[in-house]
Amino acid sequence: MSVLPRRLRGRAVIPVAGGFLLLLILVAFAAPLVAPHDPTTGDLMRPAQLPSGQHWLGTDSLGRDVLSRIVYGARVALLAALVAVGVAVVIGLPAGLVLGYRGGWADRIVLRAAEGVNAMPFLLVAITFIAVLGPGLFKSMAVVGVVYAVMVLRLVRGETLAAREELYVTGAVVAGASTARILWRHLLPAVAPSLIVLVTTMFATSIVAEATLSYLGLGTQPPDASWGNMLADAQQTAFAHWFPAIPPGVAILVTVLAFNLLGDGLRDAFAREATGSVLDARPPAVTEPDPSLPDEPSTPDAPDTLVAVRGLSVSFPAPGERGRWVPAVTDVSFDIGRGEVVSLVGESGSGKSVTAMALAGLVPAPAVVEARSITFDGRELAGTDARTMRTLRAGSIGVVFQDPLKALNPAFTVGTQLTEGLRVVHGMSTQDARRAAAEWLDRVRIPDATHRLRQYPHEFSGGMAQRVMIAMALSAEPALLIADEPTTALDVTVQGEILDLLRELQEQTGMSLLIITHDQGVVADLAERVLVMYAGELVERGRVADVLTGPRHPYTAGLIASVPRNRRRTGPLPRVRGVVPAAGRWGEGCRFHDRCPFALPACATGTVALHTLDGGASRCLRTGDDLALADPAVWR
Amino acid sequence: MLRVVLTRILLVVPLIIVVSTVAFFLGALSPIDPADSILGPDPTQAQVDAVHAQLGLDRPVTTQFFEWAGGAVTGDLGASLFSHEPVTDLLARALPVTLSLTLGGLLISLLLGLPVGIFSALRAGRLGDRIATGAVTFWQAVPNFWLALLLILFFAVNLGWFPAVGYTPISEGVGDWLRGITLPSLALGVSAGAVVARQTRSALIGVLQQEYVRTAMAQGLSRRRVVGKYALRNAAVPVVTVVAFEVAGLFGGSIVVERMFSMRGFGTVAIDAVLRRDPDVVQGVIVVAAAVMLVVQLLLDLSYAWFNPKVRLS
Repeated sequence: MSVLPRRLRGRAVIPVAGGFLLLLILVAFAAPLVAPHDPTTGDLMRPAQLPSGQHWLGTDSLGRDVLSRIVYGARVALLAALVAVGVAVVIGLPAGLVLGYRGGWADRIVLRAAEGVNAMPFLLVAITFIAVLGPGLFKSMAVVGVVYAVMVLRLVRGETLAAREELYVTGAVVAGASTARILWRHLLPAVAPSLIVLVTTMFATSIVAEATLSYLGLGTQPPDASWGNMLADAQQTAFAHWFPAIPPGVAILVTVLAFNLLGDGLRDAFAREATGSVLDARPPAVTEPDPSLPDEPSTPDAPDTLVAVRGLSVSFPAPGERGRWVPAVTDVSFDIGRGEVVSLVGESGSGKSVTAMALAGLVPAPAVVEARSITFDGRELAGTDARTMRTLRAGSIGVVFQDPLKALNPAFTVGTQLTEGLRVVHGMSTQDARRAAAEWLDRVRIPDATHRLRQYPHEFSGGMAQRVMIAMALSAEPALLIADEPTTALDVTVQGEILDLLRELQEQTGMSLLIITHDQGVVADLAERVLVMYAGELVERGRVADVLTGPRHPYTAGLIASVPRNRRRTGPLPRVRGVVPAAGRWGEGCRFHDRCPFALPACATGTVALHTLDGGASRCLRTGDDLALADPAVWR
Repeated sequence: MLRVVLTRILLVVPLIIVVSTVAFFLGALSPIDPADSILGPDPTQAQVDAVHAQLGLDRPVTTQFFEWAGGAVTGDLGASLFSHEPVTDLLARALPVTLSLTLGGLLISLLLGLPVGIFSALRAGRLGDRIATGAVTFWQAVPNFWLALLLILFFAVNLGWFPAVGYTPISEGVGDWLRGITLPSLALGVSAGAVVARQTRSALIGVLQQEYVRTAMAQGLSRRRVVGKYALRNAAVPVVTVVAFEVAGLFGGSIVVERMFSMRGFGTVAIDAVLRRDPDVVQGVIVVAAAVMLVVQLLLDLSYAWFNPKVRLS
């Protein structure tokens, strides 16, 4: 709970709602002191009066002071809610913890019963039990509490079940901690956030339940004041005097609102909700060239250029800090030739995927994509609109994603998803689209295509699903295919088949292929040129043959050295020490300098420009120096 | 698929048996004595015993239960101790009232909740979402019976657009029936709609983060198409779940609201029966309500299969 203050910072709703409720509790507690009149005895000579100096909220039909009854009603409402929520937590929390932790048949039976109770109309269940116990506020609220206990139980059980699998819990089990200790020290804290939120909103529903039951005559009994029976009284005379119907309703409304707002505020504090989506992906905006950076060579480094990217950068809003942006990719420039296969490599977090998705206009909002220029087939995309990007995706750019089973929609058949683009975007008839889709499944070597079209993604293996994705991406016959780690999520045995298929289709169609990969085998086999990214920037580019045999950036050399090789060696495996710094924590100087065995003091200051070299480029101060980059010894 | 449906239907039967058994024995524990209502204040023990013998309440509870259960199987749910009307007739008159309000409330809650939830989700975190979510939070806090009272005062008493009280069966005119249930449905549906709106919003926001939405966008489909054809269907499952709870809530809520509008629905029948202890009526209300809810659950389970094809196989 020590993290609470930081989480709650900047959430005005929590102190406001909480403060109001605190005030309400004080007023309710001090009701005899605060209430201006006696709540149960009225002046029968002055019934149904409008608000006045003496009676701020008027009087009811029996001449009782409405304000005083509201104050005493608050007492009843809060006490009643406390009873219901207390019963719910006392029963539901331990039961849920034990059931969730232990599982087994008891869990299944109780869960079934709980679902049954929750499916019954709540009021009817309450009334059935009240029939047994007889009417009365606290008996009724205890019944409400029992019904709520079922909800607490289900929530706690679910959260416990999830937390039980966490490493720190399994660790405690292995270490021999007692069940009680595990429940109390490890599982309860894991359950607490969602329980606190549920309890808060339960106070709100309890207050409504109390009012409802009292309104029906099953809760607070007259002449005691409750917001519910005040409304019942007011209803009797509402046609003649409508005003007494207002204060109790407003009291319920405001109290319930305060509890709900508090619950929402707490929930938001515990779990931040995603707000932007790919639906609102922004098209690339134009940036002016940064005068502090040396100008990029404008001569394209591929013969017949399809794509030319200059100075691409992508920024995301800093989580939890309004107005601060974190760059994920900065100043990336490269070309892709027509029919060329280019691979994009780098460790996780280097910005490869973001770069590729930016090209397709698929970086989820609210990220901002900017570039000095992005040309595609001669068209300038920097500064274009979302519609143009969509048209481009519909025809010229195809994308294959990493995990095909997540990339396909589970609720629709493969056929529906494959034909969608053909029908909606390319205006084919349903029959034509299905025929074309079946042909594409044949081309990606999925047997029994017409039957497979009627199946759902979960009926496909990963490899088969990736073939579907490839067919989907290629069915519009794009000029550029972006493949974002197309084999990473697949079994090793099918990785080769998918890569062979991609190569084959690339040769057949003559499209350009931008393939993102971790695998240097893929680079060597498939690609003609390679782009190496590190910490959001391009650190080296060049022809594959040149780069693999003679890397010019220490990072590239490190990557190559850390591929395990089938040869005798002693000592640890060569590797690049340390990890990629998180976006926005790149610091001064070369972003690689603190992991680089060749770093000089000068590497820690200023920005390092990309040095154009024969057939490529390298972003390193020591580009001209004669370094033993490929020596495995320096990478141990 | 057919087998799934049949198993589900067969499972309903034991559940109803359990519910009615529990309800019967709970009712037998009630401290309320119907003799008190019949005889008035301070009856003699002999009078009480005579009434008990006349009503059959002096026999063992198990005997009473099997007698009731024997009748229930043949569709005879007994009769009210007070009006002597058969319970089936009583409920046949009350059920349409409550069902009309429940369905009316459901319709209002969906009409209100779905568009607002979708609107919010598509603008998540932006001004429009904040305004809509604020409005939803506010209207969720409005207690339905208070709203009912305000609606009566304003639209019925003040403007005279709708009747303030009473229910017109649909057989006596669709127009009058509609006019009669409009205000109570609104009173019921508004706060339920808030729950639908919240659930729709969060479900759709969750779906829009999924990779398959990016795939649909990558095909060059329009926003409208991606949301309208794909994302909404994916988001439907959690929304349907919350609607299932809402139906139960609306059914229960109509107990209060029908009282506000002086309609003799399930709630009025149930509360009268509970407060006077009219065992057959209480029993009938619970069994029929449970049956209605189980049918609703069944329909919802079937709709899951429609929205999520994985369910169909298992």
